Amino acid sequence: MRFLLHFFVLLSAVALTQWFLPWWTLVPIAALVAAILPFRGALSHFAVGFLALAALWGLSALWINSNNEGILAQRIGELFQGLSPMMLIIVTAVLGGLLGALGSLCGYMIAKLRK
Amino acid sequence: MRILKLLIILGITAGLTWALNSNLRLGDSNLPPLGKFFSPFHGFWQNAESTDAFPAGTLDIPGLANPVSVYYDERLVPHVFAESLIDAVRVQGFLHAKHRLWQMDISARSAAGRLSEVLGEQTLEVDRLKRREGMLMAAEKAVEAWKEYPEDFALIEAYSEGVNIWIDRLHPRDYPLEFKLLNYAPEAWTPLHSALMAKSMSETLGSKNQDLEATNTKAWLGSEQFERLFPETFPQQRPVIPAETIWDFEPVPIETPLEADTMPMLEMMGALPYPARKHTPVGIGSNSWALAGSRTASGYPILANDPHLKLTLPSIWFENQLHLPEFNAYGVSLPGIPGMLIGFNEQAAWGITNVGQDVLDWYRIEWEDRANGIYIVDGELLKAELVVEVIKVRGQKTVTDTVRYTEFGPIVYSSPKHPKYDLAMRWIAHDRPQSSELRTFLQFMKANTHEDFLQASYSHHQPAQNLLFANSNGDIALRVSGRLPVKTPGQGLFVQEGNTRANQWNQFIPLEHTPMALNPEQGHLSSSNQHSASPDYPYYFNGYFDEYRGRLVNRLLDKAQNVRVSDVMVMQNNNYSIFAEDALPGMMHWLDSTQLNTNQLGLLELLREWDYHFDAEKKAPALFQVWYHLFYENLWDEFYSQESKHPVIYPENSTTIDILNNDPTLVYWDDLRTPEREGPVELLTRSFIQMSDSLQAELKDPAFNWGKQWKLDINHLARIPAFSMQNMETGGHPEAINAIRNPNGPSWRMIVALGPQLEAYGVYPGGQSGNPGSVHYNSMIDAWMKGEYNKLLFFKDAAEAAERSSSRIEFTTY
Repeated sequence: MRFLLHFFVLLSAVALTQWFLPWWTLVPIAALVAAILPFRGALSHFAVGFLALAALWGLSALWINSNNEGILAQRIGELFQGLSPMMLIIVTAVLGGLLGALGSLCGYMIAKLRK
Repeated sequence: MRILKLLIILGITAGLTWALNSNLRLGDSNLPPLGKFFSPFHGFWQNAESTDAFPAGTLDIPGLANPVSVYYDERLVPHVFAESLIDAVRVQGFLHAKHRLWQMDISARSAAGRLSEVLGEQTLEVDRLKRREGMLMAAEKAVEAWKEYPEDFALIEAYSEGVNIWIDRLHPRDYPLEFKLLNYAPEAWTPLHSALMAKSMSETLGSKNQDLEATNTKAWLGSEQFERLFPETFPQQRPVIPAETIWDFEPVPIETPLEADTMPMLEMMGALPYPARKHTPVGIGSNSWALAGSRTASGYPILANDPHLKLTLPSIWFENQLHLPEFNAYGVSLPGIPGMLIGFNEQAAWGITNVGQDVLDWYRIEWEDRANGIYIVDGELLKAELVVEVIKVRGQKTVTDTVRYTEFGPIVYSSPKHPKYDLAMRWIAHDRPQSSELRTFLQFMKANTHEDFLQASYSHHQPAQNLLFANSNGDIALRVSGRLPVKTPGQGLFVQEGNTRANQWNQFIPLEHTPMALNPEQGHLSSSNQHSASPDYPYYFNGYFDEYRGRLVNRLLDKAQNVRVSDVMVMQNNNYSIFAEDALPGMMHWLDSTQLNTNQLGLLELLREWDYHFDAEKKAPALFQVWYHLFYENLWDEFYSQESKHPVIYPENSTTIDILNNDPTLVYWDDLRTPEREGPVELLTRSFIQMSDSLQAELKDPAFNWGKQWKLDINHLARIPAFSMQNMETGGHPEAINAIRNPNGPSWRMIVALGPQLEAYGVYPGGQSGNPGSVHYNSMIDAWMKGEYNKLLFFKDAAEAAERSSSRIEFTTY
């Protein structure tokens, strides 16, 4: 339950702030959410950060790509060693996820330190 | 322990975030900041436009006197409905930026010699050459001159403001994709940027020069051979202005004739100078023609134009319509410049082709001092003006280059091989404009009568163009328009001595003396970059003129009767070449077929059956082109071996064919690389066998044809392959009307049928959007490749626009 709550709070916090803040702020935001809403275990925090950001970045890219009928993803994929549009979306999701996971983990560790 | 773990994780997180926010190098490629680039909220995903989205909405923009409506048709062509010209160009600036901002930015940077600011060291030498050529200086001078025409300058400023209104609205996530890839931000647009675009056009069309190479060649060959191999006129050509034209004016006399011994200067110019010399591309040119009503099915004129330029993505052209109370015009703009360069209004149409007149000459400056700053002109000691050019280089220290300006122009090249002298470049584009320049094309948009056309043409100075005009009254007119120096015969062919003012350009051909024609008896007018006028025109004309396309256009137009638009479409896509028609019979005449094997005889048979059309699906054009090319190299082997010592010029195809057909004993037939002595039979037979050998691999493919041989690349402006269209199989030939030669070709094909039911058709190899993430990025290339056209939607009024458009933006003011 705490996991799901954390997931949605993190996802919405980043989604809302990304429209006006620089891209990298998702890392401190993930940390902040983890510090405010900590639950059990480093691994779980890593996982929730990863899943929330991978979902946000991946689904956003998927949505944009389907409206664009893959035109741009095809071309950008060619720039990156011939990645297919679907692979490009997966790379986007993993990249976002990794940063979210690390941010979340940092936040959790800082929160634990204060106890 | 906990703290140590935390520090490690924090370090990894911070390091990774930092790395993903930085430009990294991976091998040879510069990567954009990957985190930013992949973020769906900031990076490239934001440039992936919905395929069914059209710009729509209401926008408040500052500075408009009245509201402006913009209707987009299904090809994303904006149709601007405004109450005044100044409102229209303000919105036009906004629209050009909206669809082509990165193209505008990089083109202006390239012209100014400021690429290294964003691209780093790799473009430093390109920038250095641009600075030495005085592009930035010339553009600054132009802006100063434009200010003397406040009414026109206000339009240029309004256009710049329109661009900036768009830029100011952009959040970094909205930047065009290329800014994100190269990780820089757009800068504010100014009239100087527009002037740089104009200078860049002058450079493309009016900077061809081979004085250095010609000087070396003449010193090597001697005068007699030089004149034989490099004739200035070509008797079979028909000039742009009909030959029977009478010149009823007194030409400007040349006050100070050149001293015979200063010209031409016959000293070898030494090895390639520094910076490296640019090569002028082959295949830049244009066709345009107008048929009088007597030759058309409708009884009204038809005008056609296809300018041949380097084909790029985004395309150089942008289609738009400007509808005002005082006129209604449709045409193609150069993004960065207000108005439109080629187009039509409700009464008339206009087109342009390049005049090849030589307007760039080189002068040898001999230095009197060790610092190379003092030179003598007519016995007087003069000091060169030193201008320090500051070139910012991304990721490196700023580079400075001191350019020395003499009375003869800036010193562009220097070489340690000749420390005592340098070469100064006199170029027409350095001159302060004598008009607002913008005026010509603004006037064209509202020109209805022949008188309007003449008025508009007078304000056009550079680059010199053949301006073609036709209207619904039935007039067809053509004018060679531009500022051209009065030269003594032979002046400007070779490097001249920069030690006397007698060698300078002291006068210019008065605009009313430039050749023109109105409603000639032949019922058509055309220009395909051939000579402007017959040899009896009272001024010396020399330069770079095409010999074949014009002959074919005239031949076809002479026969044309009851012409319809569809006939003109076929003609613009015509791949027939008089070059092949003139060359192939002579080549086959000398070929000794007894030396050929069965396979080679088969190839010869294909050539015999060929109809001289360079069509993609045919095999013969590939055989011909390779055979001719090898023959050319074998014939002119002396030139290729000379090139290793000094840069030289090479004989034209027309001269080569003249020698092939009429001069079998010329000394050059002998191939000096072989012990035996060759004549036409040996050379053509050998070349044929070499052709069959060199094409052996290709000919194994039964589907091999001209299209597979003559591939076309339409490259992205930053040469990013993923944003380019490469290896497209195409027909065409630079000496055919469909003048395709990689990477140049017909950059816009337009046909306007005048009359009460005006109809216009057009297509260019690109798309209206400059965004590789848009469905409109390259949407017209297929049609262009197939020779198909779009019917241009020319809305009479806002009601028609509202009914037939796909979307609409309302611009309101505050």
